[in-house]
Amino acid sequence: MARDELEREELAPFARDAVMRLDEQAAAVRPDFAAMMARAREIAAEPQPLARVIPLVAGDADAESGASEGEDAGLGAFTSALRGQLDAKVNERSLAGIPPLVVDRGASRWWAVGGVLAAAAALLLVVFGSRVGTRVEPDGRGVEANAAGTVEVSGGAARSVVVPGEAERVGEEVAPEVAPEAPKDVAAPVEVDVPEDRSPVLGDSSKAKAGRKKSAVGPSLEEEAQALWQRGELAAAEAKLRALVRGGGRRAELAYGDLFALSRQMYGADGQAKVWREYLQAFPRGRFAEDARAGLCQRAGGGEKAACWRGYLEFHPDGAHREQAAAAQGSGP
Amino acid sequence: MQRSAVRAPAPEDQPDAREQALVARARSGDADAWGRLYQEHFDRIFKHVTYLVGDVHAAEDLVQETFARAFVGLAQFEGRGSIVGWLRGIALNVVRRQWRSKYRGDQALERLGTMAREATGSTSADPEGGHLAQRRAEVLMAVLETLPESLREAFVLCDMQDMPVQQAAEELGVTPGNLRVRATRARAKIREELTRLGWLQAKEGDHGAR
Repeated sequence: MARDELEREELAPFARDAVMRLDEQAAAVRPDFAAMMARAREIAAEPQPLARVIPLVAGDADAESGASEGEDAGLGAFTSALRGQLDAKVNERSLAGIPPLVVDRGASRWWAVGGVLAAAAALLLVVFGSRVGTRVEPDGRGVEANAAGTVEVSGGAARSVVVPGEAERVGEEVAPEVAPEAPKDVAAPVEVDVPEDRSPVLGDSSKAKAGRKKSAVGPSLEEEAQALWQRGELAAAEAKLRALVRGGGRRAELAYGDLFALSRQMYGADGQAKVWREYLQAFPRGRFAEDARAGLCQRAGGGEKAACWRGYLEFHPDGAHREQAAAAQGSGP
Repeated sequence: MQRSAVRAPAPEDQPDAREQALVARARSGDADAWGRLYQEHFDRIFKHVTYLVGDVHAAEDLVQETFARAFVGLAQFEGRGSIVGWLRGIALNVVRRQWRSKYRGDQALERLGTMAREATGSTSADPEGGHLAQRRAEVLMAVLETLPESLREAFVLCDMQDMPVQQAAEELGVTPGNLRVRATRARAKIREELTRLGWLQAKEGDHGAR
């Protein structure tokens, strides 16, 4: 320890100079609140699965070491890449109609990575087509779920090849405050800085926009809701979406997609769960039903958890969360 | 002082209560409240990130990312700790992700090589001079860049931010003992590099230094 103290003293001038220099440079930087908020809106609408894929492709040893009980780790990485590519396409579609809010410094890089992943995915489809195909579209719903860009679907699947323990953290409603306060040595960030369950945003957006195209007479309620949302007028956006819900039918279902994310932003996890329940009552076999059920099950506590996952498996025996559901059955009461 | 003794202070008088009120408002979508929190904590988070990445411009982006992600995930902040601790944690994770996606060991070593070539003569320059201080800062940042992130974080928190071991350990999610080990290893490696580069004298027991 004495030697360490000596070293510390020796290095102190270097540390002091580094701090002084960085402080000087930092003093010139001014906060840009508007840019930050614009970035927040982007984040609220971006597909997290793409971000998850990056470390895998980049060779994150920790992430890869957590791969895959029983699944070929190498293939797992490629399937993740494929999912990321699909999510990227969905996101591209969903964002197509949204006016640019901010210069996204990272976007081009993400899309470049997405392009590389797309190539890898195409190769994979040829080589492992049947297996990957099964994962992506078990009954057509898998595609739906991926198209929905849900964190839970893609993330849940990716989780099996990402980090040990991550699935549990996500399943238990990952709170950014928990991990930052006690970040793990390995791979903590992925979940921590990615707020959970924003999944519906993407799917919702893409589908809502698809709906909008068909009813393209002036600004639709969907467009008005999106515009209000982007301006931060959350209550007004919610009112528009609620009006769509009252109208029933397909537009109502798509509006729920946006409501999931909006309610999350406005009322937190509980608010979002409430909308999920409401949605499941109206659309028990709807396009977001699997994700809504999975989200509710992940938040269920104690004895409810196993029962919830049992219900999930009844509705979605081939669902993207079936492994988690089965595990919950095994560990449940 | 007297006044506060005779009547309970308003929530706004207490930093914690005031902060909690701001957080609650921000959580409900109040951008003004989030703006206040942003303004109040920007500098601290910015310094934290700047020390970690050693580059102001990179830090600027990462801090924006930190606050943006925090705002989107604000519903998940339950207020068990301070908002600044939560933000620092998110910042650390944002930085780690950036390290993992962008780290290029060869570039870091190349930069260090340049430092080595430039080191000749620098140590004998005016020891109090601004130039030397700048060079020392640069060489330390270059050496830090070559360290594994766990060691780098330990050194930045303990030696650059002078954070108490207990607090730093909590922030990094390790035990104090573990952090001490990391910090010791970080110092040893940094010293070794600085010795190799000619910035420090070799000590007895050192190998390969001058």
